[in-house]
Amino acid sequence: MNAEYRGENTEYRKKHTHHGFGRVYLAGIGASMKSAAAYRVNFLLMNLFDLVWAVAAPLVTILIYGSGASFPGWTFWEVMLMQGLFELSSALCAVFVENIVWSTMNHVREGSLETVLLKPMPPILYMVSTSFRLDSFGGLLGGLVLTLIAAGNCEIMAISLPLCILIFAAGFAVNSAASLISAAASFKWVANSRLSEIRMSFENFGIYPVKIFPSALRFAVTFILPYAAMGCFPAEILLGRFDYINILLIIPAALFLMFAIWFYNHMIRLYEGVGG
Amino acid sequence: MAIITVENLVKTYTTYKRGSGFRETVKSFFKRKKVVVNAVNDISFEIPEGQICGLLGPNGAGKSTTVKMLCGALYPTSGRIEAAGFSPARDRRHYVHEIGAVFGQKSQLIWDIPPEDSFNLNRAIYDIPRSDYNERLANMTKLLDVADVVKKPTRVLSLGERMKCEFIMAMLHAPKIVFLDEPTIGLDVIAKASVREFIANMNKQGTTFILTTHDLDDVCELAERVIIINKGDKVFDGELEGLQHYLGRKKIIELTLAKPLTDETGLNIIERRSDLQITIEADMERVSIREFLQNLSTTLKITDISVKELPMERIIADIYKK
Repeated sequence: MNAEYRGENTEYRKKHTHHGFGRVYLAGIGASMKSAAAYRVNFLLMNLFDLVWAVAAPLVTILIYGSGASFPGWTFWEVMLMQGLFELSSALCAVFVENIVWSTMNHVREGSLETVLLKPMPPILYMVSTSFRLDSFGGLLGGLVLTLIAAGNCEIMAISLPLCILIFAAGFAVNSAASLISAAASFKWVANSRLSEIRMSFENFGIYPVKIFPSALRFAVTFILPYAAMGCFPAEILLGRFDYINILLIIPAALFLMFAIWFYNHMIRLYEGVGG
Repeated sequence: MAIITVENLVKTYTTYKRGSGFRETVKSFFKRKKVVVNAVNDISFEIPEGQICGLLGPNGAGKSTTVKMLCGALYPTSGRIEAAGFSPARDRRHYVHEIGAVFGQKSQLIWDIPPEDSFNLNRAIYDIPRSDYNERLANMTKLLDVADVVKKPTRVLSLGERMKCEFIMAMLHAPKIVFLDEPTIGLDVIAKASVREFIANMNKQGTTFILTTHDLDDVCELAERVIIINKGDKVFDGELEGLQHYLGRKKIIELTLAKPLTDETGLNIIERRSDLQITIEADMERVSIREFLQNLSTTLKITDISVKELPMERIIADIYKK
């Protein structure tokens, strides 16, 4: 058999291993945008709904502070900043990663994952590139608006922005990893929409200041599943009250993401399709 | 030269048996009975480069499982596959550059956008140079007569139009091997003819095709060779002509008689449409056709006669029943 065929030829491998993920991702986004544009009313309604949802999310906070109560040590606008950052993180995940849960579930239920496995790139990358959701952009915009308005009403330490971005990225990684694990679980737990609800229940730990939680739970959302990195810690960094020991959360965040990627790939390997 | 070599291929998987009815459903919540299914059982074959090989078998025979393993989508339980120089499942990411697949019941096109946009996504995925892409797309849209169709959203296309676009999607990167799983299912005669012509055309240019189908016309018109799988075992592997004589050198003879039959001795009547119209089966290994017809004309008064080969459906059905 031809050595080049066998992939022993390094040039051949190089040629066929270079996926140009960025190029594929842009093409995937292009296809998603065209798909979204095909249903304009749905696209507008979804964005509007997400925008309203993102802006209305702090309603509970407004009620709490309106009644004279508060989260200890946090002013109204500081909580708004934290929740704006949380909405931003959550919406980023919804736009770029979360749809992989539904795409995977549909492929597994319909037995059509072969069409993904036929592509010359890691299935996880293909699924992420084609799962871009333009109709969740409203949430992104709502989160951004809320964050900027709240930041304008707080004393922000601009110098701490790089650290804030790092921890914010760790929060995004944690939420994305949870989406990947939900998606991977659907290989065995076929067509179960509860998976996303479970994931969202965990996500909600990131919307409140960690100090209101009992110490065990506080440790869990900081160093086991660092959901606090979605909203609370980035806000604390910008407000100059971050406990720097918590930087260590980037380790469990990275490990969690690595585990999620491994788990997704492992479940793909176990995939056996449905009857032909 | 063999482009695909399969040796002692085995695929077993575990499924769960669940009874019907409320009681069984409740029971299955707590305890499910494991069932081990031998989907493919020690199959070996080789496919030479440039061949069109039909893979036949009844539903659940194991042919789709075999194709999935050949595509690299499923790991074999044991045995060896080498296709285009790769082990499909192990070297999947490199191997899939060399193959294409059309699944009659699973679309690779994106539903809401025109096929042309799906093709563009594939261009990015396979890193097809723009000039090659344009040339191949122009050639294939012309061959399949879908130049305007590829600009309409996939969801508004007819099944025939969609299937033609699936072919383009699968072949834009110029694969060496193309797997076709029921490519003409649900198509009208014109669309079927067009798809078959396209396959024959691409085969002339050197593409190897593995064709899984229940439509025997696809096989008769396209395949030089047929592999039949039943209950996970390979039960036939040979040329189409060999399949024709699998049940012996039998012929079907349709007779129109001048008067009703009185003595049926020695006749294997397989259909009696009326007293004057019967169909018999004759084994040409026992007696020559000339001798058989001579005997018939001495015992019967025949007004019309038609001699045909044994229908392929009958041969296949007999093999499936074994």
